[in-house]
Amino acid sequence: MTEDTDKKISELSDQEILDLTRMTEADKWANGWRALPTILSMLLLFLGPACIHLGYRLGADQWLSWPDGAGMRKYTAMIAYMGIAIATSFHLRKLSRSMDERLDEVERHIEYKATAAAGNEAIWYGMFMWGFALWFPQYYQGIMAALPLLIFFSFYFAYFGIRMKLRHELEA
Amino acid sequence: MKNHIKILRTEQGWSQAKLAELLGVSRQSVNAVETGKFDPSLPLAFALARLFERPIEEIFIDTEGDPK
Repeated sequence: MTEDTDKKISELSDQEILDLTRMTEADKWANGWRALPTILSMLLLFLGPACIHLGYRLGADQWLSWPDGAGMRKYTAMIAYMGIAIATSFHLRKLSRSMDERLDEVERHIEYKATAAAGNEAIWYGMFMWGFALWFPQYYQGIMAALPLLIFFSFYFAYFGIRMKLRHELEA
Repeated sequence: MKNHIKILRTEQGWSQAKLAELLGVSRQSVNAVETGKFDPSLPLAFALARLFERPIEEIFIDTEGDPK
């Protein structure tokens, strides 16, 4: 690591940039096969209804009709959906807690700050997009459909950027 | 907060990576503490004191009362 603490991020070498974007040991631990059940069940919650919806060519006003499309009773589908959602959130919570224990205090300080700032940014971005959509009713539905993904990507974009900046400030 | 970690570490002939291994933290975290950019928690400060066999106040310098 460089001794020159006044270097700007744009002046860093490729290796130094890579070092700032590295995965922590805790990240590596949590993001391997252990994360697979969470990723799969989260995908299932989104893709399950979406695939059934598309497969049965349900109209745009029938998004909540996917259980009918799958031949399920609405309450059965709701219970199954909630069951997967609760199990996923418990697994995610356990995974986050175990990951947190594996972070050292500097890493934890950076993770918390970056996550909080990125979460804040993502909420405001989501609110802004929603407000923007209200001004353009013809695009409202399209923007609102894309909003979860926009929030998701804006969160991670902000998170990685802020984490890199904090690492540069503290570790360089 | 200033500290003498770099001097003490060099005296022992340890690299940042070696010290990080002994403390159970990352090399980057040792750098953050060593350069005074991050104030360590009490458990980490005590761990450093044990490793260097020095009292905490010999490792860390309280600069709170210093004129700005």
